[in-house]
Amino acid sequence: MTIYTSIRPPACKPDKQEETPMTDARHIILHWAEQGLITASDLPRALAVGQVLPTQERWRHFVDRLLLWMGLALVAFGLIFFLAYNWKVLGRFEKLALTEAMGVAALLFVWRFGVDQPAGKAALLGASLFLGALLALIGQTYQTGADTFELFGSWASMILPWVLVGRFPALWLLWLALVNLAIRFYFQAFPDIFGLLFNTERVLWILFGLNTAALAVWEVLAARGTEWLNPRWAPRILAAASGGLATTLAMMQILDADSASVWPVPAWIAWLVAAFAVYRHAVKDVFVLTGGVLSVIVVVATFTAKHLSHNDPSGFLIVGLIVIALSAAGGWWLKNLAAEDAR
Amino acid sequence: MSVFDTQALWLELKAAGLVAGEPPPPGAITAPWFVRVMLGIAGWIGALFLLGFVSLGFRVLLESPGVSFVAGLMACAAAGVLFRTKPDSDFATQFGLAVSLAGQGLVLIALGKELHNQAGLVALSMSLVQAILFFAIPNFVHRVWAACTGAYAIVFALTAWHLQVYAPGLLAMTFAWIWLNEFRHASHGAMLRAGGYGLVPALMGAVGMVASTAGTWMWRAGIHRPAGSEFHVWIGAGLCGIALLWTVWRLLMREDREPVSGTNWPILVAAGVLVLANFKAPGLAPATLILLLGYANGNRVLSGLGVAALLGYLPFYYYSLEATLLYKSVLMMATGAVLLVARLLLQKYWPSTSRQEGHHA
Repeated sequence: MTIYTSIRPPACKPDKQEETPMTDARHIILHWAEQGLITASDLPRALAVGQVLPTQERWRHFVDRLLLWMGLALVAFGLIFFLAYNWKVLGRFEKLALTEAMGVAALLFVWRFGVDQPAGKAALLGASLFLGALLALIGQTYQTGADTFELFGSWASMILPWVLVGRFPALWLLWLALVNLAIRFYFQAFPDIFGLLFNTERVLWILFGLNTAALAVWEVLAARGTEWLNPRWAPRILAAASGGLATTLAMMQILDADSASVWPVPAWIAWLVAAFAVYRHAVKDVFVLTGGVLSVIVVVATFTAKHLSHNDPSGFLIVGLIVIALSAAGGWWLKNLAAEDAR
Repeated sequence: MSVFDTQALWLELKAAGLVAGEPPPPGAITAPWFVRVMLGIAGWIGALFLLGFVSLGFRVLLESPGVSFVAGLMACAAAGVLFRTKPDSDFATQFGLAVSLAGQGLVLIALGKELHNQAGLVALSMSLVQAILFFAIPNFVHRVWAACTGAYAIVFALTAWHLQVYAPGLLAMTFAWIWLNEFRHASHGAMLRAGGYGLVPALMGAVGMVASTAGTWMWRAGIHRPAGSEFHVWIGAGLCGIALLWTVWRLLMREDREPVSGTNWPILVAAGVLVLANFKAPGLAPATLILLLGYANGNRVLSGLGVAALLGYLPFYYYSLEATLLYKSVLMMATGAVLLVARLLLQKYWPSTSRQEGHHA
């Protein structure tokens, strides 16, 4: 306990922009400690009273989950590395048997623990990864001539029943990532006859539609009380994918208006309006709104840079100042939104 | 947490004898971490355009290293004044951030031109500039940036002197020291946390740097081969392992748990196997360290960065050339299997007392 024994003199002036949104006990207690209201020697106890530091039981829970998920990830990635090495000493039947055995073992764990237990969910995720490894091994061994998109498409189709029964956000995101990859590689295998740009735009449109639809379904089901969809990290990833694709489409139209279609910028504006309506009022999520602000900054900077700068130094200055002004205004708005919870 | 909750927290602390008097007024409104990340990215974009403005409008600044260096320092100083005089103005702080970043760009250009064949010296000088800015400019986003780029500059300097294998270990030890002492130096907590967050990308970047410049394939080509070759690599990787073991030990002591006791054996076994694996998979110990310290200090952002570091390292490890895929696969499967066995031991020697245990994913 030696680290807690010294008493520090009260506070030098804290940073004005330090992380004190005043929305959780950790930030509040640390802020009070910086103001000298809590001594350094009392700070650990204060954090314990505020339930910031883990208790013995929470520590046990954390170590348990860390060992489970890290162990699973290392075994699953290790198997994928092993198959990628294509070790000649082992014959194809031994490799197939090894991969299938690991998949069956994972399914036995699912059967043993059930899909509601963390160990069961981890085993189901492992089984899904092992199935992908098995499909890749079959393609490698028998040279089926299948395209990459067929591997990801088959993989996504075959694990869909497990995804449906798993009720597990990470497994759904894995499935969506596989579908995204299948679509991406399909258009790489069958490029559009009208040219590279049109093909790229079409892929982006399809991926944008897919991820936006997935996000909408997720939010609707979560709002209707599907409890396992409640954690915010998964829809935030989907929102980042959807918003990132909308932003990319808008930038493509701005930078190459002659080749791109006329729809990306209107779609981007529609996405922004919808995101504002949903994440400002229906499901308040400042993270997604922050992504929206960044998207506005990037698109406006692209537009102004395209039309103002070239070899004129004042153009660079104007764009720079616009970016600074937009980000300052956006930051002010977002800070106040985040602080609404604290009032 | 609402004002009511804040007051309730104050009363709880008061009842425990940890504070006295009336609760203080609410602090200044500041931004959540993701808003600060957005402001940092936007500041960087703004700085690029300001640099474009300077390079087109004031060519003389870029032509002479001396002028460029002085102009860069003046820009940083002006930003410092802005941060200190207008700390509550969103536009002024964002403008100051962009001006400072542009100033740092000018300093780097000047150093590169003046010391063009001495990459190590350029990097070391830049790390010194960033260290001064870290202490001089009282802005959280700017301090995270200064800590990150200053640490990266040290990694580049060590690489130029063929000592890069020591970079991850040194950064891991500094990182561990910062977060283990976060509460001890509470009055400087904001500065410590900015440094601690800035070291996360630098630490994982150093792991990547070692993998890409000190791998055996580069040695065979005779590039960047450190004197003593593998001996240095083992010591460098060992330093990361020591940082992890030291952290585990300190945390067990903090929790009033006798480190070498029956219930702690699974934890020590898991830490030990990660330290051993780290000799050939040198991102495992640093990523675990980030996650562990994040959880230990109740810091969800740091924990999230640790998870991202682990998930990002595994695909990176596939392409890094420390060992063959066969070697790496056996190492990972064996390590993973030991961790799963350690979990079984944990459940046996440190059983849960919670009825809800097992129902949270």
